[in-house]
Amino acid sequence: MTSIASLMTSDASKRSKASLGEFEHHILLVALRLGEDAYTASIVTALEERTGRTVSAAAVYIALRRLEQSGLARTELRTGADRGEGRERRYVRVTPRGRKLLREARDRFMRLWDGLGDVVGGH
Amino acid sequence: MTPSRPPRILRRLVRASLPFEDREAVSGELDLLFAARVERTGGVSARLWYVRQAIDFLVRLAWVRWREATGRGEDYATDLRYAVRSIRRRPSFAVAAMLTLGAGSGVLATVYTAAEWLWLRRVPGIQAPDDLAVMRLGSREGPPFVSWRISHPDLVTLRERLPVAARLAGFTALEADLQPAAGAATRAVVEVVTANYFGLLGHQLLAGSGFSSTDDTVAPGSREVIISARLARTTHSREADALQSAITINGKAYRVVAVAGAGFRGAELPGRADAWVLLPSLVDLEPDTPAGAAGSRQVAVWRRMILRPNDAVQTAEIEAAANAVMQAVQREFRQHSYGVSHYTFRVEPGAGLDPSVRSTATRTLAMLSVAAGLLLMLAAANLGNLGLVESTRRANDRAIAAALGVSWARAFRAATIEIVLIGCGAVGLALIVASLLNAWFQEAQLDERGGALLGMTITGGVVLATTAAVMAAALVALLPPLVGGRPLLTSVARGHAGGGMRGYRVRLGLAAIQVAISLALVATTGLLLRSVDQLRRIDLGFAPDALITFTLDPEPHGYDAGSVDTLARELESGMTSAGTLAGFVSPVPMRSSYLTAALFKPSDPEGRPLVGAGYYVTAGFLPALGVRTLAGPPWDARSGSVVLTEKALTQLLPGVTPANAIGQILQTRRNGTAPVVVAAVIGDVNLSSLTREAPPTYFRPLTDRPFAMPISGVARSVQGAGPLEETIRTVLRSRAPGLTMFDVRTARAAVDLQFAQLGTMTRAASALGLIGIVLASAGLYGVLTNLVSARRREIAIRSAVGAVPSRLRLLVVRTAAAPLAAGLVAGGVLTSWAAPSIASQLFGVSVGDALTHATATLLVVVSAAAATLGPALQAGRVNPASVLRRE
Repeated sequence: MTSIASLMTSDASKRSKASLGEFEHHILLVALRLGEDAYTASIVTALEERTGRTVSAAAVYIALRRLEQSGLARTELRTGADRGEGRERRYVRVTPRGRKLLREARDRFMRLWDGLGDVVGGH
Repeated sequence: MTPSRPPRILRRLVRASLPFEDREAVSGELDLLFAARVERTGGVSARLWYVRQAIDFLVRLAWVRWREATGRGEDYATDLRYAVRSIRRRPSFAVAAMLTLGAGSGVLATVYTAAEWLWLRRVPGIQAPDDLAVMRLGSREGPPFVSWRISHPDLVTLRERLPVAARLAGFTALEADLQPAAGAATRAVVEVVTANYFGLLGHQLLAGSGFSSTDDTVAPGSREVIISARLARTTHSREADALQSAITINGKAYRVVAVAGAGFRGAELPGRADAWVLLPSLVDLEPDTPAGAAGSRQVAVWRRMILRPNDAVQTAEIEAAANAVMQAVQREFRQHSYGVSHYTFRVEPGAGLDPSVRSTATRTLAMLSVAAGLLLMLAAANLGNLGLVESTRRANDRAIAAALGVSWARAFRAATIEIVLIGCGAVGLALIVASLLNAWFQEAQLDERGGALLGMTITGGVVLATTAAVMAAALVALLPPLVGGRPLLTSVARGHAGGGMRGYRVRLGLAAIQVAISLALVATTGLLLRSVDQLRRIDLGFAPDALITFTLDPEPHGYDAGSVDTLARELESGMTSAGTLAGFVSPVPMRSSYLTAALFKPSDPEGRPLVGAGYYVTAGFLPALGVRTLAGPPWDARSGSVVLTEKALTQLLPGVTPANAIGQILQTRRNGTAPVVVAAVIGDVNLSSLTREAPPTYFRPLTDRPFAMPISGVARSVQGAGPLEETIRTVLRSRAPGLTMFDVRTARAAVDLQFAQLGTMTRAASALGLIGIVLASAGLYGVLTNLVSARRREIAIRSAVGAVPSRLRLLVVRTAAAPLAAGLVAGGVLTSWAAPSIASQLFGVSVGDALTHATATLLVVVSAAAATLGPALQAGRVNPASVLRRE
């Protein structure tokens, strides 16, 4: 059934454009954490530090484009003039809609995780 | 030095892949990440990281762009994931399909490779080869590949009078001993060519400017040679460094004046030449060449001519014009090379394959094609069976998918992607099988004249053709069963989606077809194997397995008849001292042809000679051969003596016993001027024409041979002696360091060369027969396993009501018996239709040989029994309680 259901995935995904994938979820969280300093390179570095896994810069770049198309994030090209840098970067800011989805996702996870801390172990 | 920036080319590629507005920003950010990596992990690791990132950008952005353009990306990605998941869920189906397609297509890929090698291959290093034509002097009645030489003045006359030829060049390939200044002596092919040879071919020399002389009749100041790039590489790190180096050809010093372009080995394929010399050098290769050969119409030198016609003319026009010139020469000149009335010029368009190799290779290709066709049919039947079985297994999935709204087009696309993935694996396997077969064919000599399929390689065209064939076969065989039919969900729920008896009977029918084809392959293989065995059982009068043969060509090195005899005796003595029994013979024995010799029968009133095979040998030859001596003392090979075989004695001196024949005088000429004395009589030996009755044979001393010929040595190791070949080489190096030993092989291998083509066909048929029987067994096994699985409930009920396991096993065996019996009958019909096509290759066994057919049938039955064993045991082990409980 799982393999058949996968044939249906594309139909399902078309119905719900606002749902977050895991990777997009991580990017939005890191972007929030970085605040004004959120751009592709800093997001990549922060993700690698926080997840302990190598992250593809191309995947982050494409995911940011997708998030922008979905209205969950906004990007703009700016120079780092305040740091004395002439180089352009595409800075990322999470939109209110993006924050709303993050809250909903967090609440869902909290409800699902409730009471399972001892079962899974760790901290 | 630690890199401060990422690799420039990759950086440019990344920038090019990005949208314009993001190029500066994203490439700059990647630079920052790169710099951080350099600090953290070092320069090498950072560069590797950048390579991965660059590839990632290129691939992902291309994928995104394609998805956005077509709107189908998400669907295809899902289908690809579904296909991979299906394969991982049931790897047995995918693996079985890949193996079946791969094994069946591997031979097909070899056929493509051989066909491309035969018909499409270009001679490397030639400009516009299609504009050339190759001409030779042949015979109206003889085989197409036989050619005679023409003299240089006759070639000049052709040049002058052929209206179509802008330029005409001649070449003749000969073998010689080559020794570079800094290398070992080797036997190689040297072509004698006209001065305009390389210019006519439009060949670009790798180094040097070529021959200094443009006149074929005038020798340059020093002996000049052009060598191949391959030969240059054996002694110099760069081919151009071989320029002006010294090389000896048959002991004569030459200077390298040019190196041919990479890959060029002559104007005909398979190219084997490593050196090219001008006409005045012919005497170094053939010492019998008379002085002034270049100007004599009677001395034939050019075996092939190559021309570049003025305009686009038909080969028939060139042939007609050349034959007209020949007839004019015959009228105008008293002496010329066209001495025989049935001579005719033959012309072939384009520069390509040597006609003798082409004819042998075409026969081999024809045999391969038939085998490939049979194997493909077998594979298709197996594939069809697999598809039907898998179709039954997936009936549930198809019904549920249809009920949930997955469109037929969507299911079709998903199945297609899955089959394409399986096809990719099958193509890989097919190319591996083809590579192994190609490598084997390059080693296997196709016939006695030589002609291995050298240079047969898998090219891009072969890969494309194989891929197309495999994908087409996979889609045709597997797509209909995987997507055909949309069973109702209700049927599935009731367990009625299995395809029913109709699909089951089709599967048994396919299994019968597989049995039939495998029987035909195995029976054909058996007939060929028996022929080879019969040939090997022929009593040769000596034991070939313990003998080594080798050939020397001393005359071009300046040895005359007397010094050759001295050399042979010295080598024989040296080998005997080293613990080896050795002797020498001329001409080379163990070939299908022989030198005729005649002795006159004393009792024949008409003085007719007895013509037989004549060999000129040293004293050690017959003991090394290990022949049986019937009468006479150990022979010292004294001049004027002869050793007769028993057959020769019976026909020359009827009624005379071997002992009484010793001392008898026989005449070698009608006028009685060249008598010989019978020194010994030996048992019959067969040193030639294996497939024909051995002729009467005479052995005379090597010193008495009538003209210069290469000499062959035979050697047998005595117990306790060292490695035989190394012993021979050591003795040869010490006695005659400039001579090269070539055609080194066991006497068994030399004898087997007489039926090389049969041997090659037999080995190929054996491999294909084995593949065929494995495929057929696998097919039958699959059908029966599926039967047991589909009838598990019935078997469980039978067991529950009292059927013993042996009866249940018998159920499976009876089911297998039907397709097996039908397949054996059909296979017998197929074999009787196909076997006569190989009748000309058989020896000592008839096409309908009962033993062979019975053995083949038994082999197929045993393999079918082995395939039945597993499913039968499975049926006997069905636990009725667990099966019925699940119901």
